[in-house]
Amino acid sequence: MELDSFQEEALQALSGAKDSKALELLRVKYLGRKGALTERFAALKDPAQSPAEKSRLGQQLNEVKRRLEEALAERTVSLQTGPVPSRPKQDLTLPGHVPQAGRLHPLSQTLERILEIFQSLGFPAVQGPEVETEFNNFEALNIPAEHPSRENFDTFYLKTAVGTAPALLRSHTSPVQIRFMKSHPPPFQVVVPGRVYRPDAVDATHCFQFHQVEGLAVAPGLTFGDLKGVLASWAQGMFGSSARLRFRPHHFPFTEPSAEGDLACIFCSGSGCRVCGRKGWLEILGCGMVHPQVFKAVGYPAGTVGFAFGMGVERIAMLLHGVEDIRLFYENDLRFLRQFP
Amino acid sequence: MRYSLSWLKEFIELSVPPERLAQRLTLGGLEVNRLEAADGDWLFEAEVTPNRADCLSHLGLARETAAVLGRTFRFPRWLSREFQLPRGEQAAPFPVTIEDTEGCRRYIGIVIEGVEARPSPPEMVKRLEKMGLRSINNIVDVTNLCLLELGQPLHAFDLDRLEGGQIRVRRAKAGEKLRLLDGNECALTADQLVIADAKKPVALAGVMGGLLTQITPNTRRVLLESAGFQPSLIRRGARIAKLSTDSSYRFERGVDPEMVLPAAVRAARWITRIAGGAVVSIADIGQAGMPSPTIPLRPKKAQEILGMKISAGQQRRFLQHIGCQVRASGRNWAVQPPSWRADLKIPEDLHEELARLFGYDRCVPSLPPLPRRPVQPDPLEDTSVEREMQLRRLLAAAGLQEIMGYSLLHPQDPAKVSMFGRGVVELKNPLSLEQAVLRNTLLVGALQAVARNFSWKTSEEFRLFEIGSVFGTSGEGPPPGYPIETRMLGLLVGGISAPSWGQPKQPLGIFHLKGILQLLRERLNFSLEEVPAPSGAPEPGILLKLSGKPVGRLGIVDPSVAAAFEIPEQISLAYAELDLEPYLAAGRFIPKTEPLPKVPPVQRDLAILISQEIPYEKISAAIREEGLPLLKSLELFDLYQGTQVPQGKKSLAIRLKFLDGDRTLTEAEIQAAHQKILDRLQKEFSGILRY
Repeated sequence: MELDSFQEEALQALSGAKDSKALELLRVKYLGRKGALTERFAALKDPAQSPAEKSRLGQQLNEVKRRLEEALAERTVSLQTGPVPSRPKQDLTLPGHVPQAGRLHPLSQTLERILEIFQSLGFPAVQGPEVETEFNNFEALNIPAEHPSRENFDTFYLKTAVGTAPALLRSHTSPVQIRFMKSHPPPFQVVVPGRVYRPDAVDATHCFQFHQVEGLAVAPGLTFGDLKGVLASWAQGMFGSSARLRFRPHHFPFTEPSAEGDLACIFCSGSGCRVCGRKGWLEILGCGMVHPQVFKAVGYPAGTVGFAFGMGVERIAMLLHGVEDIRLFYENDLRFLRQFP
Repeated sequence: MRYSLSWLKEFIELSVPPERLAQRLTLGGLEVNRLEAADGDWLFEAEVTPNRADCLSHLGLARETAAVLGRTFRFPRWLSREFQLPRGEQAAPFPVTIEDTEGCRRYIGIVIEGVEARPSPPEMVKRLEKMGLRSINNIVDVTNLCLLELGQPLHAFDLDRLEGGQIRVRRAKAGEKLRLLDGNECALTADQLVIADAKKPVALAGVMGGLLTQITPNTRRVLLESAGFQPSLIRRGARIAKLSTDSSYRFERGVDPEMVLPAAVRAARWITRIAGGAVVSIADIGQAGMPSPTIPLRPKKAQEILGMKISAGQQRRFLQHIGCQVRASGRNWAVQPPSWRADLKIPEDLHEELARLFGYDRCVPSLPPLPRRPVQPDPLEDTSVEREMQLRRLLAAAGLQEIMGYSLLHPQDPAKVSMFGRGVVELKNPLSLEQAVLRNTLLVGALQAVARNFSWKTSEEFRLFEIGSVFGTSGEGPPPGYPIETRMLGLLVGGISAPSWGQPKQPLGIFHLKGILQLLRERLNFSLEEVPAPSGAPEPGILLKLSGKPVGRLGIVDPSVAAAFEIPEQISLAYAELDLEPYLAAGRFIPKTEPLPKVPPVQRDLAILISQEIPYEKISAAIREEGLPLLKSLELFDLYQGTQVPQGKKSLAIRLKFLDGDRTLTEAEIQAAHQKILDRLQKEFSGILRY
């Protein structure tokens, strides 16, 4: 039949169109205002045909029109997106382009985590200088000269002095406590991150510089139980909800009572392993109720109550990430630094 | 200190297993670090905190053991007998003068005649060895065993070697020398306390005896010394002599003033038993111990501050277990600590005793309830930690790796870079030359990081930053040489970006660094200006200024500087260092937003040929000025100088964006603004429009 062969020819032409330009020409040829199909529709107006004949032919023409339009749309899409036979296929197994993203130093990451938890417990962070006076580093913290307790705080001194007083590199972050209390009346609570220095020969677990986070809360009615509660909450935030802290009596000149906080070993859950030296406990912090002498040194009234604590950032980072040599933190070997997210 | 369980059992009956005992002691505050079975005995290694000098003996450990086990300690009968003065001494006491009565509170000298210094019996030698000590002879061994037993350091002189038949306790005179038992000669100072005879020092008091007066096989008469010295003076004396002995260790921390005499008596009796001879006289000069001051204690207050429910009855028992006399009447108690607990001075000291005997673990943790929760300081008062962290995160997001370097450097390191010319702060007591000065720039650490990673073939591409304190001496007064500490940001970018397929290798340099600074400006509201360093400046580069004040600089690392850190020539590096103090002090940055324009900007690209001599800064400034008020931004998107353009010229392609609020600009307005800019470039720089 003539209409069938027309349809066949038109469909083949449309699906074989090389590009959109050719396709457009075909559209005009078959479906355009003066196209072949339009002409056939026009022929329906011929009065020589019976109404039944007209109706049958009209239905057939509409069906052909629908098919051609479908084929046109299909080809339009396939010309836009379909595989171009002349171009080679993309190899999707090629590696992706990794964006250039930097990283925070592992100590910054650990510090950030520590501070975030204390922030959520209501302790904002403040900081102070690394060059300090003997008064702030020792005397005000109830560590008098010629006292054996100074032995635990061997200190680097500078050749140049601050005014007339000898200047030193702070051996702990506690002098910031003194600075803060001198400029702020209680009640308050803060944490203090920072770098500290001690003349320790460098080995896998010692370095002449390291970082601490210090905490100080001063308010009427604070108790040793509050101190334990704050630190236990922090430990759970840091090491997970199953983290257990043990408090053991200790001695620090600037707190009374004093305690050391041991974390139930996160590697062996307390049964004893190489990391905890078969003790089952990891010593991670020192704390206590602030010694009245310290409050006296900053001019607070008698009867002031507060608690303080301190911890080593390297120690915590080493435990968390299984770092076995403290020097790795300062050698800046990218092979090490890139192991952190 | 090391303790022996069998020795401990001479003072206290014990049935608890050693592991259990170690744990009880640890939780009581005497941390047992090691416990080992040895030869039918158990040895404990425990960390004695500086306040607990009373635990530095087996007697002391026995008292502590009783307390942590909830028992009252009583002297064993054999020991009480040993403390009784032997009868029969008749000679006049040996002449002792205490010249420095502050340095020496009490001095006991017991004369024993007719002794024979011999090797000690095997059980004494064995006990000493177990404690890590070497046996010397029976007389010296007794003094050492008494020290480990009772905590009182003792010394035995060969009395016949003391010139002038007398003892003087005095400060050393400058220029005096003393050859000590260890064979070393010690030059003495007036800060040291000595034991002297009529002519010369014979012992460094409380630290070590002199070689000349030591006990020898020929010794027949012994002067046995037991004394109470001032702790800080002994500490100073030992420090000057660079010595720490079992004796000085105890004197520094304080020994029981009531033990001076009993220990001397015990030692004298022991010596006469194993070395023969007899006590002929006892000199006891100075004061006996003063009664310890009473401490007020309010049991209810103690309960409150500890957050522990310790009943008054329990509190009284705990205090009695550590040897305190308690006068408990009503709410205010008077507590008198025993002579060996000089560390107990204030109520808080007693609180600790109560807490540790009750058990720190029995204190219920609590978070401070609202009424006693401390308020925070104004969060906007000091935001420096927050600002630093924000800066770190931004730089990491921008593709930089954070590093942390050493704050202490070899003196040659700052000299290699000399970026700032700030004076270097030196340590008075460095551990080694490697760490003798404070860093005055972060560049050293950054260059060390580059060198290390290059040599390990880790990377050929470096984008590093560090935030940390640097130190310098102020050039001018007052007073000169005053150390100044500054928080700094160091940025180092260089090398060649790692190639990837479809992405060519790209050298990193100063313009990447400038781009990072631009990012800081936009994201952190940090209005840095860049000013080219004046010609003839020691280092070429760009000065960074904030409100007209120099805050840092930016430049290309000189290849000779890089070479000093063994960085190969082909790695080109750019470095910037920036004083962060103004940024940190600026407080939290809370941006205010502007409404978005209702119409898009009109964009025009400008391509001009201009002399190479004219810096971009001048061109862009002219465009900005001329483009007012419609020009909203300009962006250099291409720069070409080479064969396609006339010699001495460069071609710049700049994208201009015009906008006037929410109004749609007409073509004529834009054309006029564009032309105005062109005219200016033509007139001022002879710029030629390319297209």
